[in-house]
Amino acid sequence: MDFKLNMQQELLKKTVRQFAEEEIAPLVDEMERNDQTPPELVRKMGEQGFFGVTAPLEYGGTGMGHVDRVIMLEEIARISAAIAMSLQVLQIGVGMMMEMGTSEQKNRYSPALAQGKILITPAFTESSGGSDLEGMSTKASDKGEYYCINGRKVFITNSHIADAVIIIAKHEETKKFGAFLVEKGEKGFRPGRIEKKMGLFGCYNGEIILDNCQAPKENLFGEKGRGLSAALRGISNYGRTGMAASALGLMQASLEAAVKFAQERTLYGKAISNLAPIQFKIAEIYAELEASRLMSYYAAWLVEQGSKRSDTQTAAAKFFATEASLRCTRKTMDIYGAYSCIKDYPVERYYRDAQLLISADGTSDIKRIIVGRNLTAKKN
Amino acid sequence: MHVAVCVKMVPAPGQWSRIVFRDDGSLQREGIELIINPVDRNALEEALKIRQARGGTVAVFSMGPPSCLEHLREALAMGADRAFLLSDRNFAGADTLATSRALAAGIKKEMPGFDLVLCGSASIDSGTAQVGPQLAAYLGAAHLTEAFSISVGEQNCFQVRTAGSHGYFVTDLRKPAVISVTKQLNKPRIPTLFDIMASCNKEIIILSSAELSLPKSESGLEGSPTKVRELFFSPARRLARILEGSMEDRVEELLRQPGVAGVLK
Amino acid sequence: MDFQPTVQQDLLRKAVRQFAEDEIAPLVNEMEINDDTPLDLVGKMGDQGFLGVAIPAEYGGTGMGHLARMIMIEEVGRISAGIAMALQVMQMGAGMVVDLGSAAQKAKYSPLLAQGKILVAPAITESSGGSDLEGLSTRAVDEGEYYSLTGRKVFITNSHISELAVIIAKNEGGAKRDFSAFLIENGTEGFRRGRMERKIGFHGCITGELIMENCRIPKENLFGDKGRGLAIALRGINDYGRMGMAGIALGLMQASLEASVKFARERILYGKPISNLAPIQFKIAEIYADLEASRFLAYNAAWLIDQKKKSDTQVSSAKFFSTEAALQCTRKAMDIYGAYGCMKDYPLERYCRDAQLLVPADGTNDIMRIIAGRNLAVKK
Repeated sequence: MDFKLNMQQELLKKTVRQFAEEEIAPLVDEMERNDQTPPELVRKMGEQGFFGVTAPLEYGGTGMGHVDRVIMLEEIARISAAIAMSLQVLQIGVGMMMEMGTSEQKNRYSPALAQGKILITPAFTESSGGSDLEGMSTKASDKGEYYCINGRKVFITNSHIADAVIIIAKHEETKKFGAFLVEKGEKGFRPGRIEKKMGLFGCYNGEIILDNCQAPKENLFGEKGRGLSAALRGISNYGRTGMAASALGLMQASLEAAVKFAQERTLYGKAISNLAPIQFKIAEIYAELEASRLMSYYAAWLVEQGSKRSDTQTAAAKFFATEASLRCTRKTMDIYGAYSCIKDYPVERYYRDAQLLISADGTSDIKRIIVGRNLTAKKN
Repeated sequence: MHVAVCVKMVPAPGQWSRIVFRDDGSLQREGIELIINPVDRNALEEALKIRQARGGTVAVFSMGPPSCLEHLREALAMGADRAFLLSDRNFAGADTLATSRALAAGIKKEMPGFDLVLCGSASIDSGTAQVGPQLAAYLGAAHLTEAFSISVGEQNCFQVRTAGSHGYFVTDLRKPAVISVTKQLNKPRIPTLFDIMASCNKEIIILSSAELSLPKSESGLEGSPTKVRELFFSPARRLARILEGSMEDRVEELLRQPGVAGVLK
Repeated sequence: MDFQPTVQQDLLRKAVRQFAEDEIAPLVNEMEINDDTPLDLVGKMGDQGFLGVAIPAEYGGTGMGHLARMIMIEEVGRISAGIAMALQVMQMGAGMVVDLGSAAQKAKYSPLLAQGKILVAPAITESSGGSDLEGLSTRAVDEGEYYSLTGRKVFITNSHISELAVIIAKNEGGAKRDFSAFLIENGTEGFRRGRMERKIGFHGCITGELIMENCRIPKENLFGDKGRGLAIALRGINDYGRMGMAGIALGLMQASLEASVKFARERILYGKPISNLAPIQFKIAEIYADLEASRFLAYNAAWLIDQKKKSDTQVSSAKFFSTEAALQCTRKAMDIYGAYGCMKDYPLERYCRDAQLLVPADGTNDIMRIIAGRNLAVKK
C-alpha cells in the first residue's frame, strides 16, 4: 500500500494546476456574470488532452487511469467547479463511447471526441426524477430505417454546447430501455430552456427536446436493450468520481482561502489563526478534505481494478465528499465573517457551487440507498 | 539546430519566509518547495519553438541537488529531448562563476556542437544576472542579455532585439551564441497530457564533477571567488507626510513637492 | 498510489482476526464484569508476536511497521476495544524503549519487550491535565549518585500490570519546560501503584495511578538525554498512542457495520427485513462511508510514520476524525438495533461506551484540532 503520487501523477497535478491558474482563473468573473462556457477554453482544454484522459491511445486519448482523472478534475475545480463539472460530464460521454460504443461509432467520432473537438454529453434525467427510471416517458419507436424519438430531458449539463447527446429512452415495442446517440443537426432535436442556477456559473444546464426526432439505426448506442446498464455504468464509473473530484477541488480552495485569511486577519492585536475556534475549523476542513480525497482515490482505483466493490465505493465517496464540501465551504465562510458575503471574495461562490454537487449525478439520498442496499444484499 | 537551455530551480515565492541562511551565506534548501525559475521557462519555450520551426534538438541543463530531479521532469514534459542534472557534493555553495564553469563543462560534454544556449536573464532568488555572460565567456560564444525577441536569420545569424531605455536595439549575433531572455519573449507552454505521457520514458542524466573533469578547487564553495557576506530583507515602507494648515496652504505645499511640480499646471 | 495491501498485510489481518475471534472473544463477557486484563491473554499475544509488530527485527520484533500495526489494532478492536487499548499502549511502551532508549537500556530489555515478557507503561498524565505540560508537578532531583522522583501519575493505561514505567518528570531547578524521562522498575522502593479507575468502557484494560515518593532511581535509568523528556513523550504519543486510538476507532466502526448489516438482514418488520427501509439503508451507508473515509486517513498517517516523514498534522487529524466518526457510527448501529441496542446481551451498547473513551485519550480531540489547525494556519 502506497500513498505517494507517482511521477506521472505529480506532473499531471502540477501542469493542470498551472493551466487552471493561467487559463481558467481569468475567466471566472465573466462566467459568474454571463453563465456561459467559454468555447475558447473548451478548445484549449481539448488541446491539453483533458477530454481524452481515460480514452485509449488508439482513439486519440492518453490512456490514463481513473485516479489520474480525479487528480486532474480536482485541480480544475479548485479554480472553477463549473468548468470541472462541465468537463467531467463531457468525459462521461467520452467514457461511455469508449466502453460501450460500437466499433463503428468509436471510429466515427475518433480522434475528435478525445480531442474535445466533438462534445458528447449524457442526457438521462426527465422531470419524473433522475433516479425514478420507471417514470421515464421518452419513447423510441422503430420505424425500420430509423428510430423516432419523442421526449423531453431536463437538467442536462452541457445541453447548449454539446454536439451530440446520449439519451435513454424506452423502446415502444419491447418496453425495454435503450440508449441512443442523437446529433445536434438531426431533425426534431433542439436544446430548450436554460436553467438559472444558484451556482456552477459557466456550466450550462438545460433542456433537450426530442420532437419526432429521427435517429439513424446505426446510432443505437451499445447493444439493444442494454441501454440502461450502459447509462448506469457511465454514471457509476465516471459521474460519481467526477462529482467527488469537484468536491475535493472546492474543499482545497476553501482550505487555502481559510488559512490565508486566518493568517492575515488581525483581531485583538494578533492574527486570528491564534484563536482556537479558527484552528478548529481549519483542522476540520483539513481532515474532511484528506479523508474525502483518499476515499475518492480509492473508489477511482477500484474502478480501474474492475472491482465489484466499485459501485458501492463510488456511491459512498460521492455522497461523503460532496456533503463534506458543503460543510467545509460553510466553515470557510464562517471564518471570513462578514467578508464571506461580499462577492469580491470567492468563498461564497465555493459554497453556492458545493450545494449543486449534492443533487447532481444522483442525490445523496439515492447514494445512501445504493450503499445500504449493496451492503445488506443477501449473497445467495 | 541544437539548442541548450540552462534552468535553475528556485524556492517557490510563498516559501521565502522559511528559508534559513547558513553561516557561510549559502541557503539551506532542504524541505523548501522548489519551482523552475519562471523566466527560464521562457528560455525553454523559445528553444522548443526554434526546434518546431527548424528541427534539431533541445537539451536542458541544471545544477542542483537531487531534489531538483522532479522539476527537471517538468522541463522534459514541456518537450525537451534530453535533460542533464549537474549534481555533486562538490558543487554545493557555488557562486555564479563556479556555476557557469560547471554548466559550460556540461554543455561542452553533452552538446559540443551547440548553435545556441538560452537562459533566463536572472533568477528570482539571487537575481545577479551573471550566469549568462559568464557562460558565454567560458563557451567562447557571442552574447546578449535581456532579449525580448529572437529570430533565426540566414547565414548563421540570430537577430535579437534587446530593450534600451528609450527604444530597442536590433543586433545580429553570429553562431554559436548565448542569449539571456526576458519574460516578454513568449508565453511558455503548459505540458499537455500527451506531453506528460511522452516524457515519462525520457531519462534524466546526472553528471558528477568527475564526469565533467572539474576539480574540487574549481567547484562549489571552494571554487567561488565571491562569498556572500550577508543576506537580509530590507523593509520597504511608504514615506508618509501629512500636510497641515489651511486648504490653500496645503495645496501650495503640495504643488511644491518634487514629482508633483509640473504635473498640475 | 496503490491501495493494494501487501501479501504480508493480508496475512496479518487474517491471522489477527482469527486470534481475536478464537482467543479474545470468549473473554469479553468476563472482562465486562471484572474489568481485569487477563494476563494469560497478554502472554499469548506476546507469543504471537503482537507486541513486536513495529519493533525492528534486531530487537526481537518483526519490523512490519506502523501501517501493519494499524491493521492489527483494528482487528483486535473489532472484538474488544479494551484489549486493543491495553495492547496498543504496551506497544507504545515497548516502542519508546526500542526507539529512544540508550544502547544499554535496549540491550537490557529487548527482546523481552518484543515478546511481551516485560510490559512498559508510558506515564505522562497528571491531575493538572494531560496536555498542560507546564502544569506537571512530578519532580526529579539530581542527588549525584541517583535521581529522586516524587509525584503522582494518573489515568495510566496498564498501570497495574507493567513491570516498567516511563515517567516524565520536571528537572528540579531547571527552566520552565525542562523535562526528563526515567525508567522505573516495579518494586523500586518509593514507587507504588495507586488506585484503579472505574471506567464506563474499555473493560479489560486497567487504568490507574502510579505514585512516586522520593523514589530512588539509578543514574543509568535516565531515559534518553537529560532535558529531552517532552520530545520523547510526544514521539511516543504521536507515532503510537494517537495512531492506536485511530486503530481502535476503525475496529469499533467495523464491528458496528457488521452488526448493523446482520441485524438489518434478519430483523423483520412489516413483513420484510428492515434492510429494505430507507432510513436503515441510510444509517448503514453512513457508517460505511465514515469507516472508509477514516480508514485511509489513518492508514496514510501510519504510512507517513513508516516513511519517516513529518506526520503530526496527519496523525492528529486522523485521531480526531476517526474517533468522532466512531462515536457517531456506534450510535447509529445502536439505533438500528432499536430497544435491543440497550440490552447488554447485544454488544452495541458496549461499542458506544468504548467509543466515548476514544475522545480524551492520547490528547483530547480539541487538542488534536489545535495541533492540526496551528500547523496549517499559524505563520512561523
